[in-house]
Amino acid sequence: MKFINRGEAIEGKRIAIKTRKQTLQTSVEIDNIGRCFKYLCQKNANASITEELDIKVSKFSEKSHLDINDSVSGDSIDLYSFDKLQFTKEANYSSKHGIQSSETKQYGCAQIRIPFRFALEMGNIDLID
Amino acid sequence: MDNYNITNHTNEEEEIGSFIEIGELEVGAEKNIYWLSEDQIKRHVSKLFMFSEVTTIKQDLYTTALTNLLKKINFLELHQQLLNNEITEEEFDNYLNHDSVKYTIQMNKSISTLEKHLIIQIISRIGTDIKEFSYSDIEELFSIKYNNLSNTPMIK
Repeated sequence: MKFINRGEAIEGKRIAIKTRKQTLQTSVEIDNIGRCFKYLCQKNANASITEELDIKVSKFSEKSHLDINDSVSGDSIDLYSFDKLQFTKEANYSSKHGIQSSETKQYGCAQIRIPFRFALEMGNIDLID
Repeated sequence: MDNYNITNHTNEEEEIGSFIEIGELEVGAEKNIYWLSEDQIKRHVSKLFMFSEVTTIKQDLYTTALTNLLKKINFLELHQQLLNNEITEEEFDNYLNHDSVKYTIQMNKSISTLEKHLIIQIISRIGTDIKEFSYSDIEELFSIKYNNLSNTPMIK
């Protein structure tokens, strides 16, 4: 399932991320999780769970989605990863911002920071298949 | 400010201590004695405590925010060195692991309603020209546990 509202989050062991622009923001120590790198993924970002957590219990937020193939999409997404990520360029549809993709290895969490404009204008939308 | 009553109480009240003398003032031949009732004193004292508490909390918040900003600068400097190939990935990890106090922001504070209000006050004084803050930015700045602020309707 795809989630697009502000604050929606997914958590998983492996989370695949696709974005047009990413910046490493800082390193943060989060309770129950440990030290994570925080990435800000902007200009249309999508993150989906490719491998679930070993113990399927949310660590970041109680409302996190934990099932495989759950994904969040938005104008801008905060991504927390246990490992430092290497982004690879996939395609270059726009001359300025090509699509960059990466995947977390041990733990990842993605939360929508700014939803798409249409989602903001329409209010909360439950989910999209 | 409350009016300080000139003696306007009975002797009986004075004996049981519901009024306390706070000072004398001589103007010419007239000598006034000023009194405060217990209620007035309680109100003033609680205001004083409240004021000192707010000041202390604000100082703590400013200190936390400054510390976290410095940590972030340290981390970004280190990352810049990595991007410029001045240090290797291994060295980068070593610095982070062995000197986490210098580079890593702790996210472990639960905050009270008063602190939430003060944070909103501080953020609104900064304004949106410099940065449009999201929940996670504010939580990161003030070391607040993640998703602790998101239920606050006052932040848009």
